[in-house]
Amino acid sequence: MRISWLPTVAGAAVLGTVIRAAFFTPLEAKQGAAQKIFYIHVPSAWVAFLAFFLVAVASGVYLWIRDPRLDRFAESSAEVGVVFTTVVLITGPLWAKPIWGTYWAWWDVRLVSTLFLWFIYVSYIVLRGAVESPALRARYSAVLGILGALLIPFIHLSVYLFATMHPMPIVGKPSAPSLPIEMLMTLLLSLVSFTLLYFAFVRSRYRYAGERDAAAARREHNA
Amino acid sequence: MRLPQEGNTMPDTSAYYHLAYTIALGIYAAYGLSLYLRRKRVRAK
Repeated sequence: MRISWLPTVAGAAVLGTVIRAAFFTPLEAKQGAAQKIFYIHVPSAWVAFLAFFLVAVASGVYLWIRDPRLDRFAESSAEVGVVFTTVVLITGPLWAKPIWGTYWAWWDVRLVSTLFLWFIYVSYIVLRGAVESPALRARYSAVLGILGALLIPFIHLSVYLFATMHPMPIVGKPSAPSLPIEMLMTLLLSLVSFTLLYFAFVRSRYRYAGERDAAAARREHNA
Repeated sequence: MRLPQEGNTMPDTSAYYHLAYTIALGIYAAYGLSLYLRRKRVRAK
């Protein structure tokens, strides 16, 4: 069996992040162990935003030059983004319960708009399965992929625009990060390792899409 | 976010932490495995 370097490096980096978060990062003064969900929740959210942003970029360029490789990349990045958003939507409530006293608040714009983002890209995947013509499928899903990504800046700014339970950014803000250096280092490691995991997943998913399309073309040629 | 000081008492929230990590890592592992199996299946066709 051939070992692929990117998934191996990404898996080792994620494992290293988990070990550092569990055994070499101090507990937070008020939240205790639940705060360590931070090192999996925040990088998953960052990767989800990156994934959907790249869907929009690839979709926009696809509509311009109609290269099927861009459609395959958008399809791959959208599916991986949905996986990361699912983790965000599960780890967030598990962190919220011991800290806020509730798993979910329907009035909280950050929470609900993130759920909407998940629904949009699940719809994107469903849409792709429902349209048979490859050219139409690519065009329709490119439009949805671009429109869905418009929600990303709104989600990021929602904590400034509305009264939410969700805290304001601790790191991604104009002023200095408001957390101790030990925690910041673990967060930076987690951002790098989960980004590597995104690229490993997308590369594998993109190759699968290429092999699937080639197999479909062969079947059509033989028929 | 702050480091605990001497004499701080922290709530025991470790069950949520363990559950969140188990589910998240389980989802990523399952997705990685699903990609591997899908590619294996399409190559066999």
